[in-house]
Amino acid sequence: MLGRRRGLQVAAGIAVLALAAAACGGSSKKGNGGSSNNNVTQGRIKASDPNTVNSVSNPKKGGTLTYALEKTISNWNILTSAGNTFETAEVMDAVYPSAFVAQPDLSPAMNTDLLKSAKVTKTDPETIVYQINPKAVWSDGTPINADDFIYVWKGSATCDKCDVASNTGYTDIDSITGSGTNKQTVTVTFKQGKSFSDWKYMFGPILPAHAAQPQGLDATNLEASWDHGFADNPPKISGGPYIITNFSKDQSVTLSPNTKWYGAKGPYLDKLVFRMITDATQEPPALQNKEIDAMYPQPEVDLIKQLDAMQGVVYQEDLGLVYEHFDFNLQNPALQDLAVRQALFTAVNRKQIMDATVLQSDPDVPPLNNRMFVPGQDGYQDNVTKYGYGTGDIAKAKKYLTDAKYTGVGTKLVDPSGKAFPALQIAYTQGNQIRQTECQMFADAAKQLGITVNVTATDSLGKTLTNADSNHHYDVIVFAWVATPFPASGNAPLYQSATAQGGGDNWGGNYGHYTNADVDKWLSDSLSNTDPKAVVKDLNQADDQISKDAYTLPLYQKPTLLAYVNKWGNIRDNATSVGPPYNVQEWGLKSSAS
Amino acid sequence: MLAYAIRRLLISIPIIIISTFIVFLLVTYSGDPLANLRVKQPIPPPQVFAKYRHQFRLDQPVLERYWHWITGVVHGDFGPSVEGGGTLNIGHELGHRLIVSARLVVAAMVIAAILAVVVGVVSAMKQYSIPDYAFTFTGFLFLSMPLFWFAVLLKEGAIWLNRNAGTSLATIGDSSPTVGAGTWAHFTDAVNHLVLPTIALAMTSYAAWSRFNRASMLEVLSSDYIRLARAKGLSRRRVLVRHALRTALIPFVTVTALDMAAILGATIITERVFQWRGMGTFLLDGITNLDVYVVLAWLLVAALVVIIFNLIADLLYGVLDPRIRYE
Repeated sequence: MLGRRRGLQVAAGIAVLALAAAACGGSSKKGNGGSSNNNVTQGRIKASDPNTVNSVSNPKKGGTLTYALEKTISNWNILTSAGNTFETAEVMDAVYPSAFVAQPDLSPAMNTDLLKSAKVTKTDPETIVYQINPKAVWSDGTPINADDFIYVWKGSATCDKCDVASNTGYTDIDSITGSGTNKQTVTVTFKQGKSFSDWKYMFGPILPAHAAQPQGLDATNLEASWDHGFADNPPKISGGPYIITNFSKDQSVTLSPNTKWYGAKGPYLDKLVFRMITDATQEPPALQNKEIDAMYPQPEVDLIKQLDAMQGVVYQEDLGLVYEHFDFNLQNPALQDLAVRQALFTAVNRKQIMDATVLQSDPDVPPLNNRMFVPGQDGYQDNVTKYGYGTGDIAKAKKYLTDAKYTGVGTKLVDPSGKAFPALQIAYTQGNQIRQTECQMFADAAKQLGITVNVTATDSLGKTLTNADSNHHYDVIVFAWVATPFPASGNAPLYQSATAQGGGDNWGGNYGHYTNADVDKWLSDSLSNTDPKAVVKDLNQADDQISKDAYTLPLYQKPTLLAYVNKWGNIRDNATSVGPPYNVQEWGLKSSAS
Repeated sequence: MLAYAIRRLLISIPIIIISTFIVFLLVTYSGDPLANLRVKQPIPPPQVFAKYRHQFRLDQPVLERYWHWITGVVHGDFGPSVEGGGTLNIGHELGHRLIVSARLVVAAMVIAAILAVVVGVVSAMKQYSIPDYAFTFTGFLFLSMPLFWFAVLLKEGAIWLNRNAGTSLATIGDSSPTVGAGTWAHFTDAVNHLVLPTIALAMTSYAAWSRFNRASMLEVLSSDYIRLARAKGLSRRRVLVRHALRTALIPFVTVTALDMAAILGATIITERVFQWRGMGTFLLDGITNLDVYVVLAWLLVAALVVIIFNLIADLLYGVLDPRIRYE
């Protein structure tokens, strides 16, 4: 009897293992491994020009393209902080037009469907004139005009009760006026002495002011329409190529062509469906089962293997705008000594860290050497390597400390006053294996200098970054920022002192309380300088100084991955905040597709 | 019996209050609901943090927050959710999610119970036969398999079938976004989406229940009164159904009702894998976002369901066993 029972257990074990092998194995067929042309039918596509990869000049009309969203949508106004999610923006690309659209090469390009021109006509006070395409109308026939620009400005800058994603730039506007036919010449005038270098960042998107409920631009009415009218339910009006025709809560958003679309191209699809799949591991089976046509998940080794084996599926891997970095908390007196920071950043070995983390899924990712720009953006230059940071050069790191009169270097560090150097705490987001590895390797490097670094997980990154309480604080932290096509407005809040950010205790995203008067000035100048070359110079000067001060150490850009069924044309990766649907009006079936 | 049922329900009220209070404290002290907002890029202006601190009652003392919640619930107000900046109405959401999950749970429980009873009876009647060994093997197989893994296997199997047998089993969501017009089309679409998650959820319960029912049947079948019934010349079918099964079902009903809590737990995984938006993902999202009022709403509903099912089990004793009477 015992033998029989054991036999059953063994059989059950074998069956379970066989099922596991079936589930994990997949097909052994190899993908194409990468090609630079558009004729790839399976596997990886390498983009020689990110703006034109997978281009199709005349897509066939018809078809339903289903695109996976990794979050559900619970707030439809992407100009609120609650609605400002990447996934909601991806849907809204098809519905609300923006003055400028970030392209795959990370440059902002004027939306030529919406605007005929957008120019700075005067520098003092800075004045910008937007000439709207006379054909541009909302889906109910109302012309798109200055009122829509005014609504966005008022909501962002003057409504202190509203949930505003960002008021940068808008608070410096003095007036917006409409003139010409249907008030389609929009003149934006900044306050005297104020200007905004990243003016192309504004009015992305605009909202249909005539649809605001209740009407009125006083704070109470604005709050009601901004925080609820445009936020609570999917929009019924569209100014883009598609209009929302069905919303199945937390499941899908279905869009159909906007019959009043005024753009030069498209739309070509019968239906565009955004399907919500909030567990990224469930996206590949859905793609394989033809329940979705495209997905935009975080790349991982297993995922790439699965995609390589999928027939008729291609994928594009690029470097994204999200980048990992180590930051010091300068509120800790022990870290206020430059020599300590220099020593720690020199002892850290970026290559080893990357080998153990990001390079596992994408071997092409290089280290990032700038905080303001990423490779491919005008202005990117190496402001890190010359300081020797991230090299793992322990001898050089030790020299920083011995030169600064520290003792016990390499064993148990003692500061120049004779006090034992305190143990530091490095924090990472709970459950993030990659960051845990990064922190552990930082701690290992520090140990070689005689510094104890304790690795801790945080359940609330936001609370830890703001040192909210005794359970949430850090001395060193690893997390990610998102670089932006608008680097001046994106970076100033991350490195300017509280004084430069308006005084009080408002440190913005400068969680480590870094203070440098020159950096404050350069970043302020970058915001107001109207000459793009001068802006680049300001930002690089600031970045170089931050390197010199060893405040943060950029590590690498996280790769992005767009996978889609190969029958669709004009769909391509866009690593900016607008995502791949930036050109959704052009998406359509390739002529060869059946 | 009515007085007994009312008494049981009244006793459960303090239990619910205590459990919600403990969970309220646990969730409140486990993190910051504004954490996601703090790391947004661009960083929202300070006014936004002040607005949400007030809106989500974070500017109130903890006990006051709980008092507001419990008095609100009596009036149908389940408190503010952090999701979407307060656009989510928890009460409405609960209703919607309950229907979604009920579809899944009821179908799975019915299938699991029928299978378990049939398999339990056959196994007991044909003890140590090939069918008994086969059912024992499958029972232990499903018992040993983690639910999330079994669900993934089911998906892989469905994809293989779709590719090779021309079927079109759905693996994602509770409905298709492109389903045609008409009630029949919607009905077949709903059933298609129900197949895999129902199997996943049903099989885990079936495995335990069938083993339990087998043991229960074996015990009853070897008892004296069954021997007496046979000796009196009653038909095999009458002995089995009227005398043995009815008695064996009494402990089975208890287990089924008590398992309701475990099934609610299992729906969290099932809904996640199959991307259903029922009560399971409602709880998961609530915990992820440290959305305390969402977690409390889930707990309230889950506690009520468990209490009601336990009550139903107690009342069914009386129906199945005439010796039991409630006062």
